[in-house]
Amino acid sequence: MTKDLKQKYDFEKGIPIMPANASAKYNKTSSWRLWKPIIDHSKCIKCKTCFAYCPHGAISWINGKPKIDYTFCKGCLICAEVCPVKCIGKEKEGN
Amino acid sequence: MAKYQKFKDIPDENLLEGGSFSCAGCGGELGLKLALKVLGEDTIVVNASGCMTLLSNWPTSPLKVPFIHSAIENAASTATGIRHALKALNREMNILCYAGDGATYDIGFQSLSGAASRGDDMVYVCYNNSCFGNTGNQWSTATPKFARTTTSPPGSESHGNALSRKDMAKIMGAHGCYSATASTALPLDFMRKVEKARKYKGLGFVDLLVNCPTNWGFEPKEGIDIVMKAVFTGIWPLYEVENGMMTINYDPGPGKFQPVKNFLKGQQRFRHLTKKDIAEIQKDVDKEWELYRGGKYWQTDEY
Ligand SMILES: Cc1ncc(C[n+]2csc(CCOP(=O)(O)OP(=O)(O)O)c2C)c(N)n1
Ligand code: SF4
Ligand code: SF4
Ligand code: SF4
Ligand SMILES: [Mg+2]
Repeated sequence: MTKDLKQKYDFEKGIPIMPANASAKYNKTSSWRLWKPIIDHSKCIKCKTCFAYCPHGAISWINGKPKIDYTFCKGCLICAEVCPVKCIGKEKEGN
Repeated sequence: MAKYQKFKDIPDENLLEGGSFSCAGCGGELGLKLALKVLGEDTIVVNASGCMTLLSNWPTSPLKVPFIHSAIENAASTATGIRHALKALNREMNILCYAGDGATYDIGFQSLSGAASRGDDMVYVCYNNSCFGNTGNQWSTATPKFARTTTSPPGSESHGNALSRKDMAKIMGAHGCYSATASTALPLDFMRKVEKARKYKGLGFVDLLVNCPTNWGFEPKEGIDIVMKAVFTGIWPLYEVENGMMTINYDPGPGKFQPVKNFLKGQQRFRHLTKKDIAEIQKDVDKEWELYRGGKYWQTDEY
């Protein structure tokens, strides 16, 4: 990772600039997950509740529906708890 | 009509993306995400040392806006400096101080009080996990009565924290600035308050109670329910102070709050509580609401 960045940034000048959103590239928090949330889109009422509450930037709102980015989802299951129609299920990781 | 009435009003763009180092189910990160939805990309975030400093783990950051990490004592002074620099450059930008309760109620209080008194223009959100969380759950003046922390351990001589929590939003309101309490359970209420703090010319303060599974001791998925119960039991009153006048935002009426034990149960930090302890907390909460309902908003010395 550092080698990769060295090519882009002048470390000698010591300017602590980080490329915008660099951790989205490098820090894949999916490995933290014990449970994987899964949206049943046929039941989803597109209310945006899960999008409002996801703490980890793992739900995006694309074309009027929620999309979970499993690269970063930490599996806290807050989305499943807050969904008013309970259309987010879970699956054990590592099966 | 005020902005942010429905979840559908929340902007699509995430300025805080994935890949942070905060614990799964962290309410602190949720609060920052929501504040940035209101303030937008023309914002500089100032953070005092604490859990959210994990977001600036150079060379990576999940933020799409600038983030400056100050010492724990001086987030507000750092923001003041930035405001003056922006003025010199003739630029308008939002400045968001996002600091923990330890950095706000305790170690950084002097710089915050100074900035509020001078009327320096910024939004100051205290993400309140009710302890010095990042260093392993030490007591702060935001810690509720009888809660276990590593520096207020329950045992034969102790029931946990012997003191009541400080009412920070009132102290900030007494500076004459905009001040409010909020909870991550109610994102829209919080966002409306951040919007008011942004519009306020001077320092606008919001004390945001955040779910912290790691230090309070519960499953990450239970977090929103727990901070919701903090509001529905009356133990975390939602209010705003504007021009020294306090308004209660949520009061279901006498006898209508849930019993405080609904909030306390299910959290490891309250597991040692006896029936007597719970009754004492209930009495404190009842007394506080009795005063509010009698229009006595500032009288806290009676209980
Ligand atoms: C003067 C000083 N004392 C102690 C510390 C160590 N320290 C770093 S983070 C932290 C906890 C801060 O608590 P809080 O502001 O509530 O934020 P949280 O960690 O709970 O998010 C402490 C004590 C420090 N950085 N500076
Ligand atoms: S499980 Fe947690 S991190 Fe994953 S999408 Fe749901 S709310 Fe976001
Ligand atoms: S909370 Fe449930 S119903 Fe609402 S948008 Fe998310 S998945 Fe769909
Ligand atoms: S200890 Fe609490 S506030 Fe800190 S990162 Fe973990 S969940 Fe968030
Ligand atoms: Mg804290």
